[in-house]
Amino acid sequence: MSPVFGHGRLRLYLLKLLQESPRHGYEVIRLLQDRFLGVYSPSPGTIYPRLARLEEEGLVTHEVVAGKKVFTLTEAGRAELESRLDELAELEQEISDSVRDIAREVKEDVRETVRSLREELTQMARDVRQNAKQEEHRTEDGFRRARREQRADWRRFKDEWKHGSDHWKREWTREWQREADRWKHEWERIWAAGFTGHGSPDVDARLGRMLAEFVEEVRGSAAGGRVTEETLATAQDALYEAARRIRDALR
Amino acid sequence: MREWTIDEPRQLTFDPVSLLNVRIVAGRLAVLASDGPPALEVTEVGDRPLLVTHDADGALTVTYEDLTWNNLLNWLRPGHRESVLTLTVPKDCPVNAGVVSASAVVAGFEGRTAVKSVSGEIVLDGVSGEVHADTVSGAVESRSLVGDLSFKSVSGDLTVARGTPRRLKATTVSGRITADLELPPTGHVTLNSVSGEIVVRLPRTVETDVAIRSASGRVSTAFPELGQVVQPGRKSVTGRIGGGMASVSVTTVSADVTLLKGDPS
Repeated sequence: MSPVFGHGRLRLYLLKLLQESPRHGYEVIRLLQDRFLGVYSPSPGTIYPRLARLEEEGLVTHEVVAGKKVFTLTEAGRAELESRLDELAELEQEISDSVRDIAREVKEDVRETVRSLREELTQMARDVRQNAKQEEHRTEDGFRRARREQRADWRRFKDEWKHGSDHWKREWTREWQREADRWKHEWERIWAAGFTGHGSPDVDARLGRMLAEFVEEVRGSAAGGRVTEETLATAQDALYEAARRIRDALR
Repeated sequence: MREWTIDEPRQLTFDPVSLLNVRIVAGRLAVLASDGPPALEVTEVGDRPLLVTHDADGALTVTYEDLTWNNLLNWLRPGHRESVLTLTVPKDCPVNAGVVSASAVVAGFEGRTAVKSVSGEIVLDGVSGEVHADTVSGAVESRSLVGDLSFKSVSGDLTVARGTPRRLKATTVSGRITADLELPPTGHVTLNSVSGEIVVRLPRTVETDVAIRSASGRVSTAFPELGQVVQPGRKSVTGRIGGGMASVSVTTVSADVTLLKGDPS
């Protein structure tokens, strides 16, 4: 990323960022990271001294707001930026070139990850199957059983095609129907709620843990007690009630 | 509302964008999350102009005037609609992207992201929130996705690398599904395929219910605690790993299914 910020260009870009709005140093660093999609991450050790130098030159001033220095462009800074508009345009061109590079890099990177993951998992899958087969063949008995099963498999195979495809067709129809319903529902939800429906991932994970602990506890009791149709019915009622109350709370 | 007609390479920047709709035919599309001003860069445009509109609500639309999903099949013929676009919009902006044969790269979004393709490949990186990718024959390759993920394909391969799905639903007819997953405590994974092979890797320490069913495919698992049942017309592997309430369910007709265990970390 260094070619983008050769020859005092970081300085120019800092002026531009401060022209958009007064900002504190941390914000400037975040903005640089975001505009370069995380590829260029200047350290505070790079940015703070630069801002200090711009201030010495009279191009920016700062005031302390809530314990943080907020930098603002001065008239001199604005004039400097005006006089270098050509250079700024050029710089923005280079930045967008580098954004395009990032897009290409992302693509190549993901592809590479995907390719090596596939290779790795294909090899692992082969090993797992090999092991399973060896297990099967370990005893004579296993051997005979395997042969028997293979023959049976063959006979079954033919039936299955018919059975399987009927079954699948039903499943598939049901599946699409469900999908369609879900979509309709989703759309309604999305349009009704706007796009604000997601809580923070952290809180979501905590909810997940809470639910997991709940399940563990109930399963523990179930292991010690007796699960009958009747207790299942009770459990179903209780769960429904709990889900309803939680849903209401989430609204 | 502002409107631009783009018939040569150029760059535009926009006022705040609240929703992005982009549809192109052939070429390359990249949509990246960035906190800078929303921007569109067109580096190639075919022999028909692209239409860009930015309406009062902040919805930004980039498309061809005559491109609708209804006349989709026409677009599969070779033509001169190769365009190369790079869009940057804020990461919480909902993104709807559609391509016919173009490749689409989408990275960094956190709201709702939906990508559709006919034959072009879809590449997703670091997207979270609600993610949908639907394709006919194009591959979907993804890395570091988090949240509610839904994939559909006819023959395109689906790959999820380092995925952390709160929900993952993948449905394909003949595409291969390869998924390397971290499962949150209530993660819910459903994979369906007719003839495309399915390989899933879960962490060694995962806690989840598992149900794998196949009519005629081989089902293998690296988790010995799962019981295998072979009945006429159906093979299944079901059981519980650990004590958790996550769930993984896999259904195929003739495809093999393999469940793998991650290396100890």
